[in-house]
Amino acid sequence: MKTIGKTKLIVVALFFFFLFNFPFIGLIDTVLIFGHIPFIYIYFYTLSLLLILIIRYIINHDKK
Amino acid sequence: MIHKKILIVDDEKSIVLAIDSILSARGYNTQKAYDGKKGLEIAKEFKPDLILLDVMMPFIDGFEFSSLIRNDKALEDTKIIFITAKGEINDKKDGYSKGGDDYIVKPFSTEKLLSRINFLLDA
Amino acid sequence: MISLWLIIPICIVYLALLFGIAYYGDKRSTKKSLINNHFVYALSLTTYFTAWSFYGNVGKVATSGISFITTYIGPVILAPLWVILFKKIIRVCKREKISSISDFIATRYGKDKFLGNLITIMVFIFIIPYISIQLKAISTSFHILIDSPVQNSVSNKIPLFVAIIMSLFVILFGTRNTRSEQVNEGMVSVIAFEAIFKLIAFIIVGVYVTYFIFNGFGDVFSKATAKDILGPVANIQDSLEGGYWDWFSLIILSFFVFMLLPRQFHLIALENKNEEHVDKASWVFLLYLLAMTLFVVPIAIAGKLYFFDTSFSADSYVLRFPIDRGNNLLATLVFLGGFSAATGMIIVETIAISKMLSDNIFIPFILNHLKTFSTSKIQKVISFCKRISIPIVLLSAYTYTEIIGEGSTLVETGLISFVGIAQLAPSFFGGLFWKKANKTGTISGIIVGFFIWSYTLLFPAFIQSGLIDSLSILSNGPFSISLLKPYALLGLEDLNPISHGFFWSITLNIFFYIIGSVFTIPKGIEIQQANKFIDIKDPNEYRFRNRYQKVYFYQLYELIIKFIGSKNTNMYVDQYDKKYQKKYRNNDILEIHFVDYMENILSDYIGNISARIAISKLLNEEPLSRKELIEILEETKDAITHSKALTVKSDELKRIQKTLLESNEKLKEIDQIKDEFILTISHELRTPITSIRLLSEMLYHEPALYEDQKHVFLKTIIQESERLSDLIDDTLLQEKLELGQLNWEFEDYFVHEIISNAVNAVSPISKDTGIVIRNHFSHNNTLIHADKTHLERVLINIFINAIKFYDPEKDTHKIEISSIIDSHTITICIEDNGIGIAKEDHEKIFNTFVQIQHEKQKNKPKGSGLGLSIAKKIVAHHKGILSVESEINVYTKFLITLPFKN
Repeated sequence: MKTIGKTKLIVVALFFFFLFNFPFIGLIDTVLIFGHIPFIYIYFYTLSLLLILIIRYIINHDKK
Repeated sequence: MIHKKILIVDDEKSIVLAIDSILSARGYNTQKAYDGKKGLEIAKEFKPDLILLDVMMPFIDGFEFSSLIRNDKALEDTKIIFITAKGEINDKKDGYSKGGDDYIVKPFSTEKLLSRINFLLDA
Repeated sequence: MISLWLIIPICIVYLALLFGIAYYGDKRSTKKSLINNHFVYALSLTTYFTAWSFYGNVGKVATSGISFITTYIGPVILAPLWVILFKKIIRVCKREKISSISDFIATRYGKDKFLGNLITIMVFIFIIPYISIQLKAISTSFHILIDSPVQNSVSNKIPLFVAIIMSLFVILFGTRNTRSEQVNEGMVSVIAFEAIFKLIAFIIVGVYVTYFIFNGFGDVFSKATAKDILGPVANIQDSLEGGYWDWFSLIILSFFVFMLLPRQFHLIALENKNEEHVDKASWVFLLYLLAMTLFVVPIAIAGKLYFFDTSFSADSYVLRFPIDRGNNLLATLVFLGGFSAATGMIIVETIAISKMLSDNIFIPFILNHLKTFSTSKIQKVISFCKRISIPIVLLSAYTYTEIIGEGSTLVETGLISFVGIAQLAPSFFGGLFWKKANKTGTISGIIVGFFIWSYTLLFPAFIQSGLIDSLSILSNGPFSISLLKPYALLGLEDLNPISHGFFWSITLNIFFYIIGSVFTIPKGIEIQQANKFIDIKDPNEYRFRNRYQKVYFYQLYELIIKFIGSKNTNMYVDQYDKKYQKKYRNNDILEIHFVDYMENILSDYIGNISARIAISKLLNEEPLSRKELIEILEETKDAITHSKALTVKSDELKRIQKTLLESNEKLKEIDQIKDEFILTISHELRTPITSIRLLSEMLYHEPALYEDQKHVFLKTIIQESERLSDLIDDTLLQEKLELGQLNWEFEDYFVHEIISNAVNAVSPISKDTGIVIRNHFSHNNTLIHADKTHLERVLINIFINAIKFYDPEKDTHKIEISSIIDSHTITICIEDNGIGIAKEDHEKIFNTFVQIQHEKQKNKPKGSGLGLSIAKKIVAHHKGILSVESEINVYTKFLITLPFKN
């Protein structure tokens, strides 16, 4: 088994850290409500689900 | 008479030269290898009836070499004689347990070498 | 409303269920473990979701909007790093036998006792309020459930009952194992069960509120929009005093704290069964996190709409809905969900804190004050300390609830604890990756951080709860110095108190940590520990084996039975046979797979490192280094005494043992060298004799040989005879040198004369092989005091080597002689452009009977393997130094430095 790519994971973490902070969060604040639902809620869930897929991909891919 | 095939594996060039000359002169079909890796390759192709095998060799030593031969179905009937400089094999049983059919201690005479080979190949 | 006499039996049944699960989990641990999978590992880490998440999140959204989510964004960002961080920490903890977060940091910075105590006390101060709010949450929800604002004599004592029952639970299921690497399986099973229970309860109540009381998400949100409630909730900037800066710092805070909370650290590192679980658990945990937060905002908004005309605390909305609708079954479920969230946290946090207290403070204290030292007594004292620290933790939390607990909300208290715990972050994360970080930096950083935390968060909290009566300090600062206002240090206003406190404490903490580490010099043990923590290897890397090494079954077998006995060994060998259909016998050569299998088993008995070293020795992989020896000793020590506290007393024993082992090792080595010498000599002599004999016999008995064949034979015989006589000469010379019996005839000579003599001696050979010798030696008339014969021999030896090891891939082959002179010494440099010597072999070539293998050099005539060893000794006898510089495939340069005569 190969070891899992550390650099990839660190880059992913940094990227998401960035997405969850200013200026992105500031942009979210300009939308506020999207079809009756707070936009930040949608943003948080979409990003988190995306992150799950990315982590799964990296781990499964690197293990082979 | 079918020429019996003998493979000589030793990293000492002079020993290989000597044994090879003796055996060729007696009509054996010989091949030479100066290290274990090459020896294994040749053994698979050449399918010798007997291998003369030095114990102390770099990379793959004689004992490992013999165990690899023993695990090969195609080389089931191949006999192995270890050439040793004493200390590595204590008695015939020990040599046998390490995958050899016989062993011969340096220095040895032409006669001794030939009698051991004849004994194994005639049997 | 539910009758008190109905809810109490329900609670008892639920608690009995928890005890039952724990008991079953412990029983199963010896057979097929319940918890040996990544799901349970992920679930166990959800103790991050306490009663604070269960009740308090909704309250937070209702009162101040979406910012609750920062507490979960930190862990989301951390998730991809689990694989890197957690595995490293798990390995370090296993290897160093870490028992808690304070032990982790103290061990990293030189196993420092003061640091261990400091962190233990700090963590105790941070966490007790946090446990106490869990007790309070249970009691509040209980009172809401039975609808009794009147202090009923039974229900009033609920926190006390919970504290007592939880103490009992932890004593029974949390302290069973004294060795740190074993897992409290029953306890982890319970935590996993509670994780599922609280999630289900929360989702059911979420669905109930959103879809049964309201008409789905859309309905909740559109009604909220109509009433202008949604806007403020959804806006980040408005929901936080300090806007995005607060948002940012709260994310960083939760990012740090997720691993550092004592309970989280305990579950991550110490209750992990297999580090491979981390891979999958990292995203399973994220899924759980998303499920657990999904209904927070809908319930909060629904609560604001539904209870707009009541004065209910927003923290209680989750429970109020089913009660208000008269759905007693659901109300009970929600209560038990919150109860699970609280108790899960209480159990693990208590285990972690009590372990710190007993290991760092109680046990060392009592051992130091104990007059007599009988083993049975010490064991009793230790187990008493371990047990008594559990009720101490819980009763402290209970007392805190009684005295201070009123007034602050769940989230506030939780966040103050968070900022406190975050003070460990610099030393923790720095300790994992920064080797220079040392004890002084850590202690100063932590103390400064703690001080700022107390001043900016704890002190104001006391003022606000009325314990300290000096509200003016908050508004005007102490002595009316406004720069020192606890909520606005140095005029930093506009932040909420949590991020303000976090900013100042962590900034100064990091500053002092770095300054302290850079400007002070660490002790040896700190450096040693730093290396151990930072360079910890992947256990898979240990598995790398040299594939040309062979091991016979009996060798490994004999080794293993020494450690675990023949009965166990046979059992494991049979198990292997059953599992992989391969039965090994005495002289079978082992496959690596089997070696790894046995190493793994061995490591269960004697620890990872010892097992690895034992097996590596068998495989001749690498010699036992001094460092590793010390490590074995430490592990042995650990195994014998089973307790770190006791080993303090065995220092003396340890030192003697170490000396003995070292000298034994040295003797063995000398013995082995002697044996090898004799064996090699006989081997080296026998080989040329054999070929000489066989070839002569051939020439004698076979008159019909061709001329050229005869020629080859005779040439070989001559070569082999030369080799034989060289070998004998060299061996004798070597022996004489060693015994000091060599005759030396020292006289004054010119260096250039000796050099040209040597060059002349080898020039016939060099001409044959086409190698040019260029003599640039320029310091003529330099006199040295030397034995001419021997020194010439050294030079000739080096020339011959250079000729022998020429690089066939190069067009020109040359040897260049040059010289360097300084005030006392002259250095003769002999450089060739041959095949070179690998760096790792530079030292070896001067050892006896070493001939370096080189791929371009396979079929060359062999030397005695003594030449350079002798040369070095001869040069040393001239009070000089023989050394080598070389780069493989480029050049080799021998340097002979000798003192000259003025």
